[in-house]
This record gives sequence, C-alpha cells and structure tokens, in this order.
Amino acid sequence: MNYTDAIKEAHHYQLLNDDKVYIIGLGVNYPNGADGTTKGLSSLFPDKLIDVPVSELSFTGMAVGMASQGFKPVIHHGRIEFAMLAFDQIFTQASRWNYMFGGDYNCPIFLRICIGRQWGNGPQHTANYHSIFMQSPGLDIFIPATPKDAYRSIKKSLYNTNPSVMLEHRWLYKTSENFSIDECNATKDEAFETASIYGNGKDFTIITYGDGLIESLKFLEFSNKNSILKGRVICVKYFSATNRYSKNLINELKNSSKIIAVDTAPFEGGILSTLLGQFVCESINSEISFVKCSPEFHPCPTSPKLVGEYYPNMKSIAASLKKIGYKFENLPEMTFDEIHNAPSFNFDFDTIPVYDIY
Amino acid sequence: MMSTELKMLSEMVKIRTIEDLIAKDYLENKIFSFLHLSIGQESSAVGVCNALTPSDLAFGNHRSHHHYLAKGGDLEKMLFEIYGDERGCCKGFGGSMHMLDKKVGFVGSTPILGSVAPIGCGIAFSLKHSLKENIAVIFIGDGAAEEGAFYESINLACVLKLPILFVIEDNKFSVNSSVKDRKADKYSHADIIKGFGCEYECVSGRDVLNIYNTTLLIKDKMLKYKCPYVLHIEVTRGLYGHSGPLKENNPYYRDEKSINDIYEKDCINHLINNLIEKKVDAEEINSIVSNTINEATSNFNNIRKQINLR
Repeated sequence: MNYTDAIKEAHHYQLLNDDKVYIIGLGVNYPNGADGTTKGLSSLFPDKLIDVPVSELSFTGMAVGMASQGFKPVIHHGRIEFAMLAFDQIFTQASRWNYMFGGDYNCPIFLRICIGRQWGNGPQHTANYHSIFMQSPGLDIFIPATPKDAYRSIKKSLYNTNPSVMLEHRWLYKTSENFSIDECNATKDEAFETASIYGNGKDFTIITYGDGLIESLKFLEFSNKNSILKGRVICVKYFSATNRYSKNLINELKNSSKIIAVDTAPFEGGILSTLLGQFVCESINSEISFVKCSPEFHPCPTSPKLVGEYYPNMKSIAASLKKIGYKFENLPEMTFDEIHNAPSFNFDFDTIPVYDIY
Repeated sequence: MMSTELKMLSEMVKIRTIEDLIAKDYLENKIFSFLHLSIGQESSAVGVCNALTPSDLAFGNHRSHHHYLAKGGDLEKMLFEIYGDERGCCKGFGGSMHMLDKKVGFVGSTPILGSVAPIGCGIAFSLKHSLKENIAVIFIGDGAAEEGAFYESINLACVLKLPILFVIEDNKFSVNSSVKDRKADKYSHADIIKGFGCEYECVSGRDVLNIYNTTLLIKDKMLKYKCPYVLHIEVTRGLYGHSGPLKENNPYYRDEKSINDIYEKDCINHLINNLIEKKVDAEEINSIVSNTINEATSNFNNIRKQINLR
C-alpha cells in the first residue's frame, strides 16, 4: 500500500468507527481530495467531509471548538505555510486548552499538515517548521516516515485525548510498504513508538526523521554491501505531548560513538539539533563525535538547477561521515529524476532488521 | 416581566459589587492575575444570558467575569480562580481570563480576542450536529471584532448555517485607542456584517431589558431559520480602564467631559430610573439593591477568608 492510500484507509476506518469524526479542510470532499488522501470518501460519507472557505484560521478554530465539545475533527492543511495562518488556534488555544482550564477539558483535534520537500514548490511551499511544534507542550507530534506509520498515527488519534499533529512529508506520498491493516490495532493504552531503529551496525548511527529516512536507508544498504563499516538508522517518529525526549531514545544514542544527523530541514534550530542538544546535556564526559548532513541555511529555491543537491542524499551523507574519519567510496551518481521527483521507494526489506523503541 | 427586570437588576448589582471588591484587592497588590473588569458593561452579559437556557453554550474572552456570573457560574470557584487558589474553576492554572463552569453552559473564556469567534463556530457546530435545539454565544469586544478571525468566522458560520450568536460588546475602546483611531469614518458594522449575508442588530447597552428581549427574539429566529446572528451592544466602560484595573478619575482618552457623564449612561442607573418611571416602589428597588450588595459582600468576605494570599 502506498502512503497516500494508507492515509485514506485510516480515515475510512475512523469514519466507520466513530460518528464524531469529521474531516475538514480545503477541497477534502473532491473526488480526489487532499492530494488523493481523501479520495472517494465523500461519496461514502457525504456529511462528514466538509469543504470550507479559504479561512485557515477560522476553520481550524472551529475544529478546536468542536473538539472541546467531544467531537473528533481532523483538519487538513495542504502546506505548512497555510497552517501557519492558524497558529493561534493550534498553539495558543488547542495545545494549551486542557492545561489552562485545569486539566479536565480535552481538546482532541487532529491536524494533518503537509510539510517539506516537493518538486518545483519553491521558497514558500517547502518549509520544514517541525521545530515550532516541538516547543508546544500538550501537543502530540507524529512524523510518519512510512505508509504503515501514517496509517497507525491516524488510527491512534481515535483514542488520543490530546490535540495532535501529523506532519506529513509529501515527498513520501508515493512510497509503499506491505502491511496488514488488521494487524494495526490501535488501542487506548497502546504506546506509540518514539523511534524505529533500522539495522544494528555499531560503527555509526544515522539519526533522522520523515523523508530523511529514504536516503538514510539507501546509504545503510550501500554500506552494508560495500564497506566494512556497518551502521544503523534511528528514525524518530513520535514526540509525546508530555515528554519530548524519550529516555530510551537518549540511552540508545549513548550506545553510539559516531552520530550523523540527516535532516531534510536546515539543521539550525531544527528538531535533530535540539534532540542532540538534550542528549549532550545528559551525556557529560562521553566522547561522541557528531556530524550533520542537512540543507544549507536558505529556503529551497524553485528551479531544479538551483535546487541541485540541496537535500541530503547518499553522497552528501558519505561526505559528512568523512569529516569524522569514515571513508566511503564509489557511491552511485543520482539521476535527475532521483533528485527531483518524489520516490516510489519500497520499505519492505528483509536484509535490515527493524525494531522500535518507546 | 417585572420579576425578570428585578432579577436582572439584582444580577447586575451583584456583579458590580463583586468586581468592586476584587478591584480593591488588586489595587492592594493581593491578586496575581490580569484583571479586566466589566463594570459599566454588566447589561450585555445579564441581558443576553437571561434569554438563554443552561443548554445554550456561552464562551467569553479576557473580560468575562460578568458573562460567567450572568450565565450562572459558581461565584466561589470564580473567586478562587482569580486569587490563584487550587479550588478555582481552572484549579488556578488559568486565572481571571479563564472562566469555566460547564454545568451552567459557560464552556470557557480565553483572552486572545478574535480567536474566540472560530471556537464559537465549533461549539455551534457540535450543537447542530448533535441535533440540539440550542445556540452557542460568544462575547467579544469591538477591538476583537477588528481581527480577521471574526470576519472569517461570520462567513464560515453563514456558509455552514451554524447556530452561533456573536455578541459584540462595544465599549468604544481597544485599551485606550478610540474608534476614530481604528476605523474609517464610514466604517459600518451593519453594512459589513449584512454584506456577509448575516443577520445583524445593534442595541444600546444602557437598556438591559431591551437586550434581553432582543436576544429572546434572536434566539427564536436562529433556531427557526438555522442561521448565525450578530448582536452589537453599545456599552459604556466604567472607571476601571482596560486592564489592571486602574481607577481612572480623569480618563484623558474619553469623550465624556466628566465622571458624571459616564454615570449618566450607566446601565444600572438606567434600569433603576426606568423602574421608577414604571411606578415600581422606590423603596422596593432600594431594598433589592442594598440587599444584593450586602449579600454579595458577605459571600465575598466568606470566600475571601478561606484564601491564603501568599
């Protein structure tokens, strides 16, 4: 199943199982709504998919009011830049709602916000402001990196009493993964993994999230095949509303001596830099080398020529690792399509073990 | 009808008495929360809320003690909240700008001005889609009604046919900025709001009975025609200023030449004069007023005694 269909299937499940669920956003009721993630749902649930005026602030705020009264609204924002018009409602209202009212007043709004890289989208449609959400206690953050993650994040929201945001990397929409929907049982008490670890090599640890996972995994496969240096990838997937930096995740990092942050957002002030900052705070006396692989500190331009290799790829990951003394050679050249078109990457592999940490 | 007028008189006097007492403590540095007093503007809360049932849901703003009390909110929990006591309506986490008493349908207040309008749309949505014959009411000021959130929300409410009553409590000032500094000479609430296809009515805040009667009619219409409504109430700010409170003996920013000019427009005085004109016994009115003041003061003192200030 691809990422787009996984989201759609999860919405289908929500709508079938909870009559308090409404999906609200610009064009969500189109036959191919929300970039295909609500495709066909409005013919099955005509009253539940609600198209709205181009008023991001007010329809997001409406969802806050609905959630406060026991409803389960899902809000779709097609770009982070559009959601920013509604930040007052997301941060100052929803995220603080239960806290400021004394703790007995939930506001379980679920925000789907598309974010980041996409061909030709340019400086005002590709921002990666994950870190803004990090600074808002009370808000659960899901950053699904695979179709199964996306499905489970949405399903989990049925039971979530916190407001939550799913930051969807649109670059991942064509990726696919084989999984059985029936095995994705979310329950009220089930914990959501804070990260998944791919591989178990000891020489280096790549830490990444969202669409950084693809190039990271490609690099891991390459090094497994072509190098004596073996590594692993830690992909962060969920930040809890009450505890942003999971103890287990920090401890996992302590088992590494060389860490490379692969960030598809500029590193400056980003979620990996704060995570590593927290890690450093808790790792006095340890001797660990850090290096980053991330875009330069400017917006992503529009023209493919200017975009060039703005985002991390296998080659730039290798170049970064070289800074801490690791040499990888003969990395494959990337084609134009590989650099500029969303990948149809498949997450099914039996060569790399995967396990979750909470 | 007369009993409703007397009830509203008593409620307005109670709100004013309580707020005067809180203000005194604030000025003596005993309250560590913002405090936005409603003194002078009690009529809009009391007039509107008396036309509602507990199942109609109201939501307020930074200045909402009067809305909360008029909707039937618990006095004790309100005072505890303002003084930062854990027995408060928000356990002390919110303070004066976060009033909440779900039992009586006062489902919250938050202080980010126009922000309240979209939230009200959501509350109205939940009523409509739970098939309840009730309305949502939000109170916002004339300054808040300048924010985009407000205009967006009127349009949204009209498109989705939401049973929401937007009450603009217009005291003519945003902090100390007067209307002429914030709106063009030809600005017209009526034209703008009706231009959205929304029903609009403007009434004077001096006359609580008229506010009450107008709200009754509006609520009937809203439920019958499944539409939102804007009720614009022109109130008169008392002498405590925007926030603080300040005791403004000679407010430089106001048109009124003297304090007497302000008192003359006062909603409580107006109601008393009206009642006298209607031949209600002046002694009865006086005793209602003084009994209410005494009772509210004694309630306040009893609650206040239980609070450890520092």
